[in-house]
Amino acid sequence: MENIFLEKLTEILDTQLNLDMDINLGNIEEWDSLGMVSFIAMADVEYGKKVIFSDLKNAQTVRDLYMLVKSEG
Amino acid sequence: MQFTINGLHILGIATVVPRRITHISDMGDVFGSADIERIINSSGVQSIRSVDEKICASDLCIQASEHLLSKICVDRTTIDAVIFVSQTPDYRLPATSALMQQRLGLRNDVLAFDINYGCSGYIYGLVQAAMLLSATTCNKVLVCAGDTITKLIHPKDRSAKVLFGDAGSATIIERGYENWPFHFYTDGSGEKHLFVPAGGSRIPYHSNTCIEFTDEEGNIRTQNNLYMNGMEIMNFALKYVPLSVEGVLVESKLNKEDINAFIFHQANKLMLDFLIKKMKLPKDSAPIALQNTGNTGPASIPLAISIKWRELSEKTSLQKTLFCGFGVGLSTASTIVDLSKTLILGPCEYGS
Repeated sequence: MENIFLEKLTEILDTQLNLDMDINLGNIEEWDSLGMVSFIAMADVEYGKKVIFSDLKNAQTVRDLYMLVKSEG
Repeated sequence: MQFTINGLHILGIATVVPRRITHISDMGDVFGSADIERIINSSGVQSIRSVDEKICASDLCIQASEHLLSKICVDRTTIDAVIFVSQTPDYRLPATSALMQQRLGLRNDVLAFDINYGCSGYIYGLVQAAMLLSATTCNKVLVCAGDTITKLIHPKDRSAKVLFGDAGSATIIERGYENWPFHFYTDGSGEKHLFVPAGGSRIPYHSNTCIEFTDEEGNIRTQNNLYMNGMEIMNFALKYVPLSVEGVLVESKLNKEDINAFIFHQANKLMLDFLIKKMKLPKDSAPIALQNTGNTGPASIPLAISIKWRELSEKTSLQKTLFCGFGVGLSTASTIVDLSKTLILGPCEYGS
């Protein structure tokens, strides 16, 4: 699941970086407003999760983003 | 709400774009070249058309109307109403539609009124026309939808500068045999997610409203400029556009498989791609037509039809064409029309 998430995230951010779960979002140049809008759309359409701006502001790492979309349990 | 209005037909649609072309890739100097490439990939907008300072949305719409009237061989004295759908009128007052009555040489006893609406605006124009045709003695209604929104964008606001373009359109609706289902949704709590703060009665123009400020993303604008919160609009669209499409399908007792073409407001490619994916629509039935025009607000649905009708009509009859507008308000609006017997003209350049 985590690998699929990383693949999808890499694609929507259009980044050359080799993303892993522990990368700090501050080190991803593409994690800007466009990246965030793309993530919100991915969370909704691919994972059925509504993510709001404050969720994204609190996220520090890629893993934090994953926690926003992964299914409970 | 949703309802159906009976006895309608679209005679013809024409569109006009300004001559000036700006390639988004040339904005790399201002916004950074690596970013620009990523923005273009995501927005789908390669270039936009924008007007000179002196040209108004009404000018684009007048040319579209003249073009349509000449090709469709309709006597202009048979037009009973003119509706101008725009967020960029000529003046604060009078209504631009009144000026258009005179400029187009329409009868003095026409109904002429403006609707201040953007991305859902074309459907609002159509529903007003439909109501006039079904409830009054009107036989033909001209709906002009267009914006020159680029005049409201700050040159250093990347979020808007790379997305929006100008365009005008003209649509003539008459009495016919079609029944049009409509669906509308409004959430005014989202007013500030897509708006121009100053220039109305709430915050009149003042020297203070001209002061530039820089937002968190480094975009520069003033209170007189257009502001868009992309994240809020994305969340709104992903939730309410599918409901609007579903609502208008329920009202028409049709399934999405019955629809020949879905013409969405051309917001940006990212949003449309995700909406198409979420609604599981066949990609070739939901065209994206903003590559060389950008998001043109109330003109975007007629413009998309104008650009794509030839390609679409090779594969389908366009007998059941679903229009869905969404955005400013925030709002959504949808209808289903039959374009199989409609004269659709490709976009013309202003002044041509």
